[in-house]
Amino acid sequence: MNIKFYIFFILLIPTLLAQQANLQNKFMLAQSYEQMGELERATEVYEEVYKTQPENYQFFFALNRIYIQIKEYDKSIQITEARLKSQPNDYNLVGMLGVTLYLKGEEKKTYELWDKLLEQAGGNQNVYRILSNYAIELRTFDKAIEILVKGKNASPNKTIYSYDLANLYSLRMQYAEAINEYCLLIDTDPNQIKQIEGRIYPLLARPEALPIIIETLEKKNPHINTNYAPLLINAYLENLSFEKALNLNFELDRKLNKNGTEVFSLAQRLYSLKEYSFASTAFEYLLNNYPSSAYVSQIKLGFAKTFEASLEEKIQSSLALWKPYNMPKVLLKADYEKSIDAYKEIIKSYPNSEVAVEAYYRIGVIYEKRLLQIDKAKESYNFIAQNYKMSNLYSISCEAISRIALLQNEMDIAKEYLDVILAFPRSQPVEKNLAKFRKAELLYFSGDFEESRSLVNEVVSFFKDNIANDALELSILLNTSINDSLLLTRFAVAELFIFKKKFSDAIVILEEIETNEQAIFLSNYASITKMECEIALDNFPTALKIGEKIVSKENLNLFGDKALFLSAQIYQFGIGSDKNAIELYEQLLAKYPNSLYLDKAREEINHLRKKVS
Amino acid sequence: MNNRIFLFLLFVSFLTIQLVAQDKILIPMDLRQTDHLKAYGITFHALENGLKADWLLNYRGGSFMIDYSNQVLSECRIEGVFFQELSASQSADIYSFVQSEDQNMELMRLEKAPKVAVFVPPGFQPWDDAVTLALEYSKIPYEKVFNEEILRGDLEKYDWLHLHHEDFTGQYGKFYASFSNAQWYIDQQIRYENEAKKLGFKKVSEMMRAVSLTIKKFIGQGGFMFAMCSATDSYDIALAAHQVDICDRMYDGDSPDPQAQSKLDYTNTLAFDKFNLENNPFVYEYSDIDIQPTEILNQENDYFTLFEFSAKYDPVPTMLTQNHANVIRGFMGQTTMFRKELIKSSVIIMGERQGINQVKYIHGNFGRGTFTFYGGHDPEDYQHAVGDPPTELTLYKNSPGYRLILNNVLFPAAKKKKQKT
Repeated sequence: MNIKFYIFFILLIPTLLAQQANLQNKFMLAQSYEQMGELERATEVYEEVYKTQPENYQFFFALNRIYIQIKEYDKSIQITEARLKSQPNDYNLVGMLGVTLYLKGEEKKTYELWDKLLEQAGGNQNVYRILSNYAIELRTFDKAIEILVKGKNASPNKTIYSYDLANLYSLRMQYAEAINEYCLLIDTDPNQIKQIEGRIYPLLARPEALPIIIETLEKKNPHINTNYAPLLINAYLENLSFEKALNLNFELDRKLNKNGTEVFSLAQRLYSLKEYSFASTAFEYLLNNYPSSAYVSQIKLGFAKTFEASLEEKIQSSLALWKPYNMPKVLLKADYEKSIDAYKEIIKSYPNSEVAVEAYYRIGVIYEKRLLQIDKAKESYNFIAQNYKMSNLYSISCEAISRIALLQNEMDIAKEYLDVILAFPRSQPVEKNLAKFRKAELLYFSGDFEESRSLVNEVVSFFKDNIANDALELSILLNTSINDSLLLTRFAVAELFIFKKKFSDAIVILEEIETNEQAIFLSNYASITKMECEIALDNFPTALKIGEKIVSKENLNLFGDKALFLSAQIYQFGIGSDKNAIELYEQLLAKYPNSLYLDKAREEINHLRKKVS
Repeated sequence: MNNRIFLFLLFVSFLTIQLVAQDKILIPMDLRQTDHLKAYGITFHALENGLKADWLLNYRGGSFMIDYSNQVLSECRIEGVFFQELSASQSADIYSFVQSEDQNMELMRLEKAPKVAVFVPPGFQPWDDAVTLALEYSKIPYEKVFNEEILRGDLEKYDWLHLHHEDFTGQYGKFYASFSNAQWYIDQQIRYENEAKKLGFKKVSEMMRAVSLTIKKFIGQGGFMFAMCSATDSYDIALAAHQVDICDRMYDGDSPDPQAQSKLDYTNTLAFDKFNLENNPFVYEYSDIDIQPTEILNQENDYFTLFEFSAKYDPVPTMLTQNHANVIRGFMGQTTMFRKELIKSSVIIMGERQGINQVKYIHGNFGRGTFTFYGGHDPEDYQHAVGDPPTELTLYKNSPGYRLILNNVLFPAAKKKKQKT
């Protein structure tokens, strides 16, 4: 008996194995059909293998998938229900059945089925996750949220689904709820703040989300629960509510005993955003509260620079930048002196440091450009040039000394400092190029036109540099007028007067040149430059008359378009008559259709018309 | 006797004044024109202001002749559009030249500025729209409409509708493979789904189908529709699939109809026939209508040629092909060009790559209206990728590719003439 049984068993095993191999082959064949898009044939073979082994999960899953693909929802429901009978605790099957019912259009039944399972789920987080994933697959995000909220309520861990819920709320544009979930996570583990900041950041860029996020975070009282404060500060910055950001930042820094590091980082951020007054407040706060901070030298410099930048902002409207040349004026004298004092304080506290060098340089700039005390400016620049050769500000200081020397008629010194820049190995290419152009100007003022021309040509070839445009202008002047060197020398003298802001002296020479009608270019150039000088002196009626004369010239009128443009600008900015300005801009368009000023004139017409309307 | 002489002299001087006085403004559209694109805006505004304007088809690149007005002159100067002031006799000469039988030219009177609508979704999109850019640049006013406005019947208010880069099949541009994780894609899908739900549709594809059919009705009732890029083929595919689900699970939650291809109704399309769907949801293509980059080969050789039509007998395609160049540089898009063999025989081919089956620019009639399809995304950016900055049209004032777009905008302004027999 035993022997017979063993023989039977031994023979049966290969048969069973062969049958299984056959089924696997058929299954693979069905998969091939499916991949080829022959869904009907794939279904037939899947059905065949499924009938042979209905308990095989792989066969069941493939058949269910293809039923859904060919929209045979009833058949899918039938096999899923059959499988559920034998495996009633398989949550995944309930999820799948719900999906098929939903696709069939029986949404209510889906939710009833899932809700029934959820009632029995207790704290089993797998059930909530599986069902919410199926809901997400169906893109029924509200249901997915509902499932996870039920899971949250059933679980002692209230943050177990917080990341998923926050994501879903963001998708549904329920930003307040999303923020609440993120705050819950921060409550549990404040170290997650960076990760959460990263998740909230894209939401801040949505205009509709920003006010809701701010409101939600404000309600959470971040003054007490400081963990939320960094999120709210970011939201305030995005909303350009700098004052609120700053106040909360001070509070945060104080409460967390950060010794000013939080405020310092925000101050730098505000400075880079060009919010100088707020940056200044932040630096001032640091100086008052953390005078012995490790960053105090940088704080002091930052404070002084933001204060200076805020003064620059204030004087912008008084600078009349529309004018080709400006008569320098001293504005906000007391404030700029205060700014100098702040820099001097830095130099005193931190001598021989890079911070001190920058302070010296800033003092030089203020004395030169704003207080018009060029001797004092020169002193500051000189100090850098003599003592801080390795500083990044060395070359630029030498260039400033050269500029001042030229103003003081010290041509040799001016040239010497430019040569220093050109020979200095640490000078940047841009700095060298500027020095080259300045030297070309210097040579031009001195009447050495050939040498000047050769240097200008070198600068022009460096076309990526901004200075190339100025060089080009000088190059045109030299190339067209070099043969009449006597007159060009006179013109150079006039230009040197303009450089020194001695416009009246320049006008006398320019008048002399413009009468020489043999020198067509220089005569025309002198007229338009004279007009520019009159504008600098605020002699608008005279400037307009010169402009009219230039425009009315019948022959060889080289700068008619520029004269019309400047006249229009006088009306627009100097006299304040927009109507006349529009008229002149329109005349420019009509008379000079190829002018370089066309685009600017069109822009101004459009701007003025909008203003008028 | 003296009185007679006096009256005669008065008459002669009056006549002379009439002939010499400025009567018309000619805006030439040939190579002398400084800003071709803004010239359309000038003509459009002249019509808005009640001035008479004529489109001189095939005369100096399709020039415009507008009633003399200081305002128009001033606008031309401000916008940098080249123009010529003509006396009555000069303009009469041009009119007679254009209308003479031995010239392939015609005069098309423009009657009123059409009301323009652009089909554009609200919110941010990581690509721009060549038509909107052209309209903005040429300062032609337009309004934005989207699904809700179309479905509530707002198209009645407009003469001209533009569709650009929209996917009317409900597959979100088939960007799934490359951008399904991108925030803009996720947001876009959610927005569409919310809108579909709000408008009472279970699926986005169903909403887009309803929108497509409404637009078709608009055309049938006399509207002008101009589509570019993927709005061309996706629109026609949506019409063909009006009774069948062609969207895969990631787009509408369920599988497409396995018999979708055979259930397409080509009789319902405007331009294309017997095309095959691209069923793979991961492939960035809707069907075989579009020409693939591998078929275009070298970018340097990608040019298309405009057909020349008889201005007197075929004024419509003549208007739509007015240009100062008849060989135009190609440009790619999600839908770049159309496969010639899939274009219905009733459709007029206006621009194609010569000698091959690649068609760029087509036009056809449906009901009382017309449609024009123009393949490619941006005529001055050969390969405009998602996220690329918009083209700065101040650098392409004379773009022949953009001119074709603006021809379509002005075309509905033309007075309908009885067809010559």
